[in-house]
Amino acid sequence: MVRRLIIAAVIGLFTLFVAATVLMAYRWHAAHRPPEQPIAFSHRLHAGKLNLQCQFCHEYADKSPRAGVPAVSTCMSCHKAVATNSPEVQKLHEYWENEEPVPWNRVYSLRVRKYVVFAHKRHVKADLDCTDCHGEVRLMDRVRRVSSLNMGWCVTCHRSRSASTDCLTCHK
Amino acid sequence: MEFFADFVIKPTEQQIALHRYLTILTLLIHLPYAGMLLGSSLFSIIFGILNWDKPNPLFSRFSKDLMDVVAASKTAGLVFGVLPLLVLVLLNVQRFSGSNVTTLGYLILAVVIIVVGIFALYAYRSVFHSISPGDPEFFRRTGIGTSGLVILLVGYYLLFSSVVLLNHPEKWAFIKTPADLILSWNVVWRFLLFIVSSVAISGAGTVFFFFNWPGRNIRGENEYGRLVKHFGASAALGSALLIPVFGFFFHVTSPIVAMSVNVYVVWMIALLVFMVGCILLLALLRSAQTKYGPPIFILFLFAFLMMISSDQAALENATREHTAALLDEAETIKREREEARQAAMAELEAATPGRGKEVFSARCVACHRFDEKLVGPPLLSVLPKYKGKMEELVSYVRNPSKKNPDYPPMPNLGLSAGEARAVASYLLEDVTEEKIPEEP
Repeated sequence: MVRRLIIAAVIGLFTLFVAATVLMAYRWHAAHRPPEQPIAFSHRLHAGKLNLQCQFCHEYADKSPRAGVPAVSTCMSCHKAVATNSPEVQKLHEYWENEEPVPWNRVYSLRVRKYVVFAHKRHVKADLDCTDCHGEVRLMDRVRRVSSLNMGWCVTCHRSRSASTDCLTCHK
Repeated sequence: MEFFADFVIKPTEQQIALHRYLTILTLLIHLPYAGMLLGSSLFSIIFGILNWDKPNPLFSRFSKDLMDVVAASKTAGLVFGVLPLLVLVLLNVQRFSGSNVTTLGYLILAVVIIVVGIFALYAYRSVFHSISPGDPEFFRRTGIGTSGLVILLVGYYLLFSSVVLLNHPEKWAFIKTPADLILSWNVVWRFLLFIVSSVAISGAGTVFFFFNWPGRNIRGENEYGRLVKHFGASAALGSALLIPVFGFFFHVTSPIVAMSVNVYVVWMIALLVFMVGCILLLALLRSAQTKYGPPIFILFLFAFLMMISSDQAALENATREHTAALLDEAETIKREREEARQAAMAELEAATPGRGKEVFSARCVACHRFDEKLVGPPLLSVLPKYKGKMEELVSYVRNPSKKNPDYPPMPNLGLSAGEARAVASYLLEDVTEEKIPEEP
């Protein structure tokens, strides 16, 4: 009887942690997996091989809180003529003809955006490189999030650069 | 680390794939051995102290046998302990030199410390042979053993710190002092996981090597056999039950960039294998037989393989961009080398006497003569505009376009760079208005 209970307890313990691992895997897949995009746009090609500067497309990064995604017209300024045979570029043409924006999925979003004020502009003006937070985007085909966006991460960098760590700097 | 970057051949895609399997194999050779060395030394020291406290010939013998069995010979120490670590350093230098995370220095320091620890534990083992059991030199022996164990643990803590850091790209910019490197919950959990896995495999290994290893069977010795079996199996069981707990915290503190569904799935397989091992351990403790020794040990080894694979998958996820950069560099180097080779070949072919004329009579004469109009224009009328512009002529021959409306467009004849260069130099240098070579 006792032996059976012990065996059941051992199986129970492992099952519990296998279940916990399943949950972690599910959570990662649901919340943290690099998002699929409506068009298989490759940053590795555009920012890497073609060496376009980040702000060529994300033009508001140094002017506004949001870096912004490019308007379809920005894409079309090249893709009216370039690579028009590619099925992915044809998807872009469809959005252009229907006069719709491309519904890109966010890669970086602050889950607590309600409580945190973040401005790209200030960070670009403080001479941070885009890669400091976004990683080597020029080497990513599909972009993935490389930083945790945790408060500890923000504060570590603020401290190391002697930026303000006053609560009201970020939390309004 | 820039220092190494100059000495390293940039790996290609195939080499990186090979690298992955070599790393897993190296770790599979090293980690179970290291775990057993660590666990057995710990057991041996504990039994040494128990014996000192209350002299018991069984304890004293177990304390000595443990070291003899695991640290079987100095060759084993070199083959399973030192050599794989050196291979690991070389693999990591090729894989991570030139990256913006500079942990290779720490890795090498860790390896040095571990090697010192291994030597100290072998010294501990040999002290048993030079001193009779129950000796007054207990403190000397235990001192060597304990310090070896501590050095080994420090080395592995540093090793894990430097490897785990590779999984945390967001920290790379902020590692200024060694303290930044070693103070991380993720490393702490990983280290604890290593310790409990070590004790687990040592316990399983104790049963396996004392009862099932050919030529060494203590089944006949009832009292000693019972001590070894019960201690080994209980230690293995107790620590294996902690593995899922520490593993859970390790994964909770791991960064999301290092994760993928594979990492979790392989980890789950490891857990299930440990579970089967634990059930067999319970059966082993209950029965008078020791036939479960080999399957338990093999299951634990397999679980080690799964843990190592899960870890490597995580490392690959985290360093994906670094890998992409390496592959790009390798490709650039390969392309440059190929271009240089092509150019050299072309030069060589162009310089071969008679080659230009040969190509001309084989490929060009169908349409061109020097002074009469055929399908294409007489060459003497068009060549003067290429005077001194060898490159232009080569590129036209290799990729012709329609020039003169009086003639049909010239087709691309598919000449190699060398053939085109040879024919161009023949046309520009050997053919002049005064000296028309004999029509082929």
